[in-house]
Amino acid sequence: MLLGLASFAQAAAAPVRGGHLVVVQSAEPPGLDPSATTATAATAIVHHNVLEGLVKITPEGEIVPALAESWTVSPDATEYVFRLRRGVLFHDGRPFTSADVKAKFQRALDPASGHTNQLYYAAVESVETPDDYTVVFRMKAPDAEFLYNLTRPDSVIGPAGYDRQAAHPVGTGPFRFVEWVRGSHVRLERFEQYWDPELPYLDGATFRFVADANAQVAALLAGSVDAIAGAATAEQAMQVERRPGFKVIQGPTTSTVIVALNNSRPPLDDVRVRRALSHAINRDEIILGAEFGFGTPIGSHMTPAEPYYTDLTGVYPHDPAKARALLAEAGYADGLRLTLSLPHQYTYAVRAGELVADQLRRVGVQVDIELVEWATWLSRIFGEADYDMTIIGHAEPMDISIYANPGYYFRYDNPRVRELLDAARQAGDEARRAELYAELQAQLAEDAVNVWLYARPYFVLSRADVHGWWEALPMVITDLTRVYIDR
Amino acid sequence: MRSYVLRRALTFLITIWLAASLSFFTLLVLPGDPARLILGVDANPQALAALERQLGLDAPALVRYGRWLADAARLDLGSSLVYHLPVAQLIGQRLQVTLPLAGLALALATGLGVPLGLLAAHRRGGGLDALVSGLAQIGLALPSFWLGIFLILLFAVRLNWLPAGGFPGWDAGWGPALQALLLPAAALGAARAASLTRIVRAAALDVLGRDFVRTARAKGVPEARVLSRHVLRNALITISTVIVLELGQLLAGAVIIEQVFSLPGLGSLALTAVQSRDLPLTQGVVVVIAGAIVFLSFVNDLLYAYLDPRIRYA
Repeated sequence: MLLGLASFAQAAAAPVRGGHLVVVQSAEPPGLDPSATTATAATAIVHHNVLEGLVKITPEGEIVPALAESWTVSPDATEYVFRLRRGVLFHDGRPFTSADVKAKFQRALDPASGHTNQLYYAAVESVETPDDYTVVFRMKAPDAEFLYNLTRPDSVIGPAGYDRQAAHPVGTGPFRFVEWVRGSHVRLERFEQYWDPELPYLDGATFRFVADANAQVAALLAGSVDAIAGAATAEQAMQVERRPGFKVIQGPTTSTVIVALNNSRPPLDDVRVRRALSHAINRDEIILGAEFGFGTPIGSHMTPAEPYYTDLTGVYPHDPAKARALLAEAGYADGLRLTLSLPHQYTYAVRAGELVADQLRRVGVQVDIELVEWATWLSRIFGEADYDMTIIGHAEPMDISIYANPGYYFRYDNPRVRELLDAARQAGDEARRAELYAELQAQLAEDAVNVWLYARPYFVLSRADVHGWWEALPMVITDLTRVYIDR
Repeated sequence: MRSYVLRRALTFLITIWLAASLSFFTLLVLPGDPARLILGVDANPQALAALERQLGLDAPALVRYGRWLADAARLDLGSSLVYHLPVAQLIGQRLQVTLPLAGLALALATGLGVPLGLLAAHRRGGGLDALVSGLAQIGLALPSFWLGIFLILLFAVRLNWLPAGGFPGWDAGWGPALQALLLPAAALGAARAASLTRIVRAAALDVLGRDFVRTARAKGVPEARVLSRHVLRNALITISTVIVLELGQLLAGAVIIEQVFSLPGLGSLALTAVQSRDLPLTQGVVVVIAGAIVFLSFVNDLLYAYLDPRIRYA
């Protein structure tokens, strides 16, 4: 760490009820339904605040009851029985029952529905509702990860048959949706009949969309907004931390920044070339240049904030000589030319890209950088895998299963990885799962599928009198449930 | 006069049709589509296909073009694919910010630019002329986004006189709404004022050099009258053209200032629409802006006829 940014602990005093919080985030979401869009701009606003699932994750990474009060899992993880909380109301007054859960998961299992991330529910054979407050999931095969997947934003539950979630979300959360003024803000207000009568502390909250980083800091310092959350950067943190009356929270995220490689395109289909690229990279230099020193180096597709993480940064230490040797062995002693496509809206990716290009040049790899617009990135690079290398942060936690999909944009196909993932998903025993995940991460590192750079830092910048923020981000949510203003 | 108006109306329609068609096919050619943007980094091909069907993206290009044209002819601009609201409603909301902003910026630009330009032309070669011309140079060279941030830092952060951005809506009252538009209008207006000063100065100099001005002065007409009755009136033709063009620019081109001040204006809507490949929204904005500019050009021609009795339209 370059600078000692203090992580302020929550105030010892009791939470104060009341007040309206204004939070700034950079991006406006393309819709507010987390089961219809994976955009983190949407999940940050809506998940936990407006819409909830059967269970929730805590900042410490624990799974706790939400709409389900309790649950039992059969020893072989093929049957999950949830007992639902009673007396829960949706924001429109309808009571929450098992029928709503059934409707939601029927949608999640229907390939024609457009529900996001259906792979998380792929093992579900049937959803039964023996009564209004019990739901039974039967799996086709053991699925030890189902409970974790139920904490994801895709798993939120709305009223059965309600189809306007994207424009007007209705859920059971502590805040009710009030308005979305396109291009400006989303406003929420306290839901008085929330199932936990003590929460939330705030009367309401507004999420304002401000694209420009300088404008965000100016708004915070001028008092127009109370906090910058959702992708606050190190530079902003450094500007704000010096000022009296403001504070900075810093912690870990599960966002894995990688140099993604197209494993199906020569010369990147040769593992020696990929290993050479890994040896050529100096992660510490990149963290310094892209995130001002904030960030944790990683060696595979897991971050320290996720369960079962193993430190594999030592597999390919920074060794330009080794890189050159490997390239020569692969037949590229005279050098190589590759294109690095960078999504221009992510400053960290662009900066990291420039450093990566420089580091690769030193081992004889000529890199042509092209800046690409987001819609183009999604379509050409992510959709069609029309690229050599690209840099992006994968924000979702526990998404290592993407390596099991040969059609994913890495175009990596290794049956051993699929075996390990299936075994891990089905392993009822925690110790066994940890072993399998360790082996999985090691296998990916051995195959040098991508060059894993670092886990991104999490910052929240706010006025000193705002308390209750999450100190770590195990999932991308701006959870305001326990936030309060002490004014 | 009647055939003139008819010809202008036809030009209006053809221009809009050309602009809309160009925009339509350009957007279609660009890689990326709104379904991918909404779904994000989920690699599920069935979900993508389902969403594309829902949004009507699976029809062939010419069919979609035909549908849009038919709807537009009935003045139905459709619904935004990403915002889930009627395009006309979205544009209407944005005009509530963009029109006042453009008006304020133009008022500032004109209020500063015209008098300063005339003064500089009148005192040509003197100290005042040098000062005004120098300021105009600086005003033109300053990037408007830099000026915007600077104004925010000074008036919002340091002095706390005005808000640091955002638009509270006209429901919040005239005071707060105008306060929110003041700094952005200043940032926008400053650059336009600089440009206008130079143009007005040049136009005025041109007129000041003419024979009839020399004659008027020789006849003993008071200088103030020479300036207002003769110089300004004649320079106005050039100046009015520029002002009308500026207004057109301000309607569409304030996007950078809108981003800096996080104002939900028309420029930002256009930007979002293109970035999301939201076809109905992009088309709607293109039609409105193209229509506005053609209409302003028509207004300009009428002004011409009013200002210069020699001009007649047949």
